[in-house]
Amino acid sequence: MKHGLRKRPELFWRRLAGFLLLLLWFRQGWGGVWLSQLGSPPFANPEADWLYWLLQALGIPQFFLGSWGSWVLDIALGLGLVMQCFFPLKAWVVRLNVLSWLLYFVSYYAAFTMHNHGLIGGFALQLALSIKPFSLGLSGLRYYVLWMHASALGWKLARGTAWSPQHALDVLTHQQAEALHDAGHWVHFFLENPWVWWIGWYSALIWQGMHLLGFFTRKLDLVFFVGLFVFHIGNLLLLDTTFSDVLVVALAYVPLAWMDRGKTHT
Amino acid sequence: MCVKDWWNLWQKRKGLALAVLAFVLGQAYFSFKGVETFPWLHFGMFSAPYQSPPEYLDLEQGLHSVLKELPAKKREFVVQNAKFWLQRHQNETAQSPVAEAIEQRFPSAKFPQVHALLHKNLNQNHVSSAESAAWFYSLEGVNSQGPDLLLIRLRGVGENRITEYYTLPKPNP
Repeated sequence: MKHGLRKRPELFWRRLAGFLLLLLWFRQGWGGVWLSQLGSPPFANPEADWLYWLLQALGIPQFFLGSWGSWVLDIALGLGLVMQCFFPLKAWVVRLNVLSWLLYFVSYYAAFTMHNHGLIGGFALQLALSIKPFSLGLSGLRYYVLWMHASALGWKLARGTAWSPQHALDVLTHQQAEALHDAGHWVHFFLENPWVWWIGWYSALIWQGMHLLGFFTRKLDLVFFVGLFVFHIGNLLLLDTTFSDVLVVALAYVPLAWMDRGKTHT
Repeated sequence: MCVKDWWNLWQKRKGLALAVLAFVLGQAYFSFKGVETFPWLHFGMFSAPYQSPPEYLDLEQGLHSVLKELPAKKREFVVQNAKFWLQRHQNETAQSPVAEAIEQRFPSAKFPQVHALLHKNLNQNHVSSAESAAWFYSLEGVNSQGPDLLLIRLRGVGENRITEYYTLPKPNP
C-alpha cells in the first residue's frame, strides 16, 4: 500500500506531462513545423552553441531534417509520448522521450536559424521526470524555471536595457512592425499612451526579478505559477512570440506541495 | 532553502550536486562573457538592444503574399529563414559569424582536421544563394511553374519607410 502511494504521484505526473507534451507536439504539427513538414530546409545555423556544434559536427540534425530522417524523429516523438501516457512507469520510455525531444528542439531551432529556446521546457520537464527520486527531479526543475526567469532580468541589467523606457517601446514596435501601418490597430493605443505599456513592461521585469526570492521560499510559487501564464500568454498575444511553448514547465510549481501532502499521508 | 536543498543533494548524490554547481558557475561565467554557449543557459527575453529601426518582411509572388497562407508557426519559420537568406545574400563575400567562431575556437593552423570537419558541417557558406532559394519555391502556396518570381519584400516603418525587394532566383528545372 505504501509502495503504491509513493508511486502514484509519479505515475500521474508522468502521464500528465506526456499528455501536455503530446498536445504541444500536435500544436507543432498544426502550425506546420513538424520536421517532416519543413521540406528539408537548406540552412542549419548552430550559432555559437557548443551542443549544436557537437550534434551538427556529427551530422545529427542534418539527418533528422532530411527527407526520411525527419519522419523517423516525428513518429518516434509522437509514439513515445503516446506510450508515456499509457506506460508512465516504464523508465526507458521517458528516457527515450528525453532524447527525442532534445534531438527535435536542436534540429528545429538549427533549421529555424535562430535559437528561440521555448521548446526546452518540454525537454527540462521530461528530464526532471526521468530522475530518481521523483521529488529531486521536480525540485531541480523548479530551480531551473526560477533561474530561467530571474536570468532574463539579469541579461537586461547586464545589457543596460532594463532601465530604458525607449527599449520597452522598441520591443513593441519591432515585434508589431507590420501593424504600425494599420492606423486602427491596437498597437497605436500603447504608442499614444506609453505609460500603459511601461506599467506592463516593468511589472514583467519585477516579476522576473521576484524569481530570485523563489530560491529561498516556496511561498511565492502561486504568484510564479499564475504569472507564468499571464507573462507568456501576454507575450504571445502582444508580442507575437512562440516562446509560450515553454509553459509546460508550469508543472514545476505544482507538484511539490502535492508530493509533500502525499508523504504526510503515507 | 536552495543552499539547504543543495546540501541535502550533496550528502545523497555528490555527482549530481557537482553537476548543479557546475551549471550555476557555468551560467555565471557565460552570462558575464555575454555569449550564448549552451541552449539551456540563455534566456534573454528581449534583453538585447535593437541596432536598427523596425522593419518587416513579406514573401510575395505576383500580387499575393505567400506568408499569409501559412500557419503562424510555419510563417515565423519562413520569415526567419528569409532573414537568414538575406543576411547571406547581402554579405556573400563576408565571413559568417559561425566561420569566425570556428577559427577562434579551433584555429586551422592548430587543429586542421577538426577545423575542416566543423567548416564542412557547421558553416553555411557552402549553401549557395540559388540553392537555398529553391527551398522557398517548394513552399505551399508558391507556384514554382508559373512565370512570376518570388520576392522578399523588406519594408521599413516610422522614419525608415524604404521598401526593398529581393528576387529569389528560380531553381533550375
